[in-house]
Amino acid sequence: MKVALFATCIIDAMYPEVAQATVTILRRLGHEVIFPEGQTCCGQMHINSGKFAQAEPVIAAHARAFSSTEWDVAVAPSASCVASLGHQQPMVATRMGNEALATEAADIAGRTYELSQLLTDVLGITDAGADLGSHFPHRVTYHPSCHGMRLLRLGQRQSDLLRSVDGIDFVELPLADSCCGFGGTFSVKNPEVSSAMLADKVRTIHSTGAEVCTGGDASCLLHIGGGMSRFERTGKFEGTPDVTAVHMKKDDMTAVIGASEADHRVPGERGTSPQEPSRLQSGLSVGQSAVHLARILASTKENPLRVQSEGATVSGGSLR
Amino acid sequence: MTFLGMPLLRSTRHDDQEIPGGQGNIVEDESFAKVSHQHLSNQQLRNNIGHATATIRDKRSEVVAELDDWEALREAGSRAKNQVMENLPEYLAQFEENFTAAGGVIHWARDADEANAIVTELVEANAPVLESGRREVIKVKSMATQEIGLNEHLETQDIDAFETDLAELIVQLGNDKPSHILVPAIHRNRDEIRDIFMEKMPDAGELTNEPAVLAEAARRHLRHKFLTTKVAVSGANFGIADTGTLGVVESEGNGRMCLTLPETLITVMGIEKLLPSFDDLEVFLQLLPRSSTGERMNPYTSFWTGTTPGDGPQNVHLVLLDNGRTRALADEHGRSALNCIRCSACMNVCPVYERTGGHAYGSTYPGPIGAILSPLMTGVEAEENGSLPYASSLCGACYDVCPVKINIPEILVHLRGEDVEANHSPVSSQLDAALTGASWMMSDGKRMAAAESGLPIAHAATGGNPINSLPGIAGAWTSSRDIPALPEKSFRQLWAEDEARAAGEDEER
Amino acid sequence: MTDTAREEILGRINRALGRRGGGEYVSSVSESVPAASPARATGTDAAPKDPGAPAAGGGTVNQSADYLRTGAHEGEELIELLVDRLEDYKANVHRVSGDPAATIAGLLDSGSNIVVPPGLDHSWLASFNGEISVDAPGQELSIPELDAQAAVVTASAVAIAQTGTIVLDGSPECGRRAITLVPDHHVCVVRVADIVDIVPEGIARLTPDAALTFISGPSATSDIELKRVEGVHGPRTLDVVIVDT
Repeated sequence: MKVALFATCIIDAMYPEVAQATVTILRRLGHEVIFPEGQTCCGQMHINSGKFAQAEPVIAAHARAFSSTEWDVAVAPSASCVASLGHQQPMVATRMGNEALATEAADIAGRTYELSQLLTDVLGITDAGADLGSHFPHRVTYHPSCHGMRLLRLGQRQSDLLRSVDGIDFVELPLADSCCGFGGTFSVKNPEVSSAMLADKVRTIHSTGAEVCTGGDASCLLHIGGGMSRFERTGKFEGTPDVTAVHMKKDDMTAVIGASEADHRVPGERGTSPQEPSRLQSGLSVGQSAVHLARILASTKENPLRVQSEGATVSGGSLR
Repeated sequence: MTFLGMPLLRSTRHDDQEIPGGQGNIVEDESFAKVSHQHLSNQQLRNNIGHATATIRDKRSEVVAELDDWEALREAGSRAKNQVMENLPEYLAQFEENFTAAGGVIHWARDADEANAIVTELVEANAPVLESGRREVIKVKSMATQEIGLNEHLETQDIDAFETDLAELIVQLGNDKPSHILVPAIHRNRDEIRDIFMEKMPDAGELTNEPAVLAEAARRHLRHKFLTTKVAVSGANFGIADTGTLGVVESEGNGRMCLTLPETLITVMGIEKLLPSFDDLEVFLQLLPRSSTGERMNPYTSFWTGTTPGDGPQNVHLVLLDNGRTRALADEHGRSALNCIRCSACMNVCPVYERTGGHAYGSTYPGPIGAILSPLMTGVEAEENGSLPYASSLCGACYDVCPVKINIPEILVHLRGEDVEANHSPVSSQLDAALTGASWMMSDGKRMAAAESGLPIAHAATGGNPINSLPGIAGAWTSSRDIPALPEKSFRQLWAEDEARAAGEDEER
Repeated sequence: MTDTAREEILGRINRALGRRGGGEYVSSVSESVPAASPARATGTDAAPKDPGAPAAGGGTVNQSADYLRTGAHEGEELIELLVDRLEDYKANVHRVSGDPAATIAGLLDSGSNIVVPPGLDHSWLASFNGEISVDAPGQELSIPELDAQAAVVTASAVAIAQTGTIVLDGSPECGRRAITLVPDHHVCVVRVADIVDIVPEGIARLTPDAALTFISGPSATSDIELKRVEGVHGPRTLDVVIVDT
């Protein structure tokens, strides 16, 4: 099959290794990968900032790039960008009065898959270890990104693939479905709220004791990794009046993850609410990092992805 | 051809200049980013709200999972409300005819001031002046009367309005503002409530912080008022067009007390609250309780159609309120926000609401629905309401739980577009400039490639180190997050090099 | 003043919907949407729904929607579901075959005073030893009198098993709303024949001729830390007597 790679702007410019890993996986399965020239970005950054007029030429650039070559399916290692192609591009083009572009964008979107969608729905991969040779003997937790969950309805596709990686120690992330607080320009326009959400996400990741937090969206991982890195350097959550901990229901009890001693009061003591918080202690292990799942799937026994404890470089919380 | 520098989007509203926005408690005075700061640092508030929203989220998902046809019910609920909005004049006419034929009296209020004046006049005509020289009314929890600031207005007219819902009572006695539309005192814990009751209920005596004890205190405090007050004010959850019936959904029985015992009942209801048919209740009485309190059914629901001879108030009035609803209706991309049945499920799942609480939204309507409804009702140019559509990470959790399928994230993005169009963005022009530059670059792969060719220089300039602090707007990002070192080469460059190498190898062969 | 307001609001709605016209009903689909229709037919044998009828004014738009209209429970299973759901919301449930008089009397304090609606089956109170006030049209009890009653005994119109909901419809055996509200103890008789499985089946049996009250357990609040507390302003004790005759 001829697969057109949509690298997405953030992976192209910040995480080229994720696009390379995607190419590696597809070639391993015997598919031809092409990289349509002239591709840039899905336009989501502009659309979500309300700048529809500025988004239109970006959408047009994507349509130009992917209409000018022949391919069977397109793939992007990003749920959010794939969702934007289908959910936003045609809508914005229509609102700009550009019906031809809307039709073209919808057609391309209809043939573009997120990586785990392509692997499971189109290519029929059910066992990453057996089918891809994926091997990654480390404790891993997984953050399902919002747009993967709620716009693409990926369900268990990504986590099923990860669980089937040889040697992996997959740990569930508590409150996994909470947003990490990135939200594109949200993190710039409401940085304190965004940082508060990030702090809670980082706490839950700490509580798993996983060496690596993975996911299918480089933008969320950039954000999460950035938060983990900052906490590791400074020992605190900065940039927000962060005062509290993550509340989660567990076995009829409200658990408070990563709370400081001050938050953890004796049940019934004045000022306590929730009444019976149990404390899941933060299991922070130095060297936690974020990495895109394409790189875990591309990792093999022969050519392994190394983690920090094996001497790998971690930069800004991202595993290089 | 490029659209840069051209006027942005065509307006999507019909005649919006002629339709005035609403007034009252639906306006954010300061930008969301500013207001949220103080709430983020309130340990008690975040504990209380974190606990409460986690609890109610679980309850909701349990009872929703019990119904195999939940998605079909949501679809049906959405369809019924869309039908109402598209044919609002017909349904209002039908409702008016039926309600009036059953002995009720309808009043129309263009805005908050007019609604407050109508209610005042009705209270003055029907509630006796007490020894204190003031009049009294009892109230059932009502979003519409919160929105128009009815209690505050009545206060100035020598009328005391007693909130009878437990949470509203807590809020009223604490001189506080509601922070959630279903459980307005969600930001208070049992100790705070006990302290408020001990201080403000002269007859309360010594209380513990047990919820049952506090509920009992409220019962004793209000019982006499229920049995003696002549005029009640309520809202309504539903108005049924084909029967002229009004409905109130509640838990404590305070609603039944207000709807049944007084001589005069004044209901204030937004014009969008209609349902086409009595039969539609078979959908909404499943959607609302499960989405709202996470119960299969709430303890009490009351329906009345005008007056019922020998049963309940014989002097029944309804104030039909616009106050910006027609303005929201005129926005065809935002119109479905009027479908809201005030269940509050979107608040309970919202990661932003969970951390800031309801007060940060500056409106009677907080959370995701408030972030669209308030600016739709006032226009994004009203005060700082233009900052509300940005108070979301667009995670989409709200849309998933909405029982009438309001696509809140999509409307948030639409309203950001309106805000951009109104040139009222609260955001620094630095971000605007950056986005404009990015648009220029990303409109052409060659320009993006050219920009990325600077990566080696940038990589070298930063010494291959992570970026821990940036100036300007980017500083908002680096205030709490590090940024990885830039790669030496973009994927585009690496791909081109690989291609060239492969081509070279081919030639050699 | 309000006439002007009415005209103006309707005019705004018309403009908002892109219709021409001022304060009148300008219909965009005048043939399929009647401006107003008479009140809904009354009685449970109302005209059958015509699935092809226009939506506005002609009933629900959801006649063809695919949510469930009938439940799967019947017989003993249906009754058990109702019992389970009522008890879940802290109502006390009592099941009787035949004459409920002894059961009802057992729920009331001997020698106490109770109020009943005018149409209540008198035989249900045959075993009760106390003072019975009948709240009949023209002889209604005052609010203080109701407040002095220990309990109220009524029948019911419909019970919905899935949600544990009992509906009172103001009929002579259910009474006017105040009598089931002010006394602190409500004994409510549900006939097995009046039990339906799911909400749509319950709504189908009702008409809003009188004021309707849906009751699901005793009054409750979750306003304090979302902790449910039973018993606030409405009757704090709800005894449901399910009678299989």
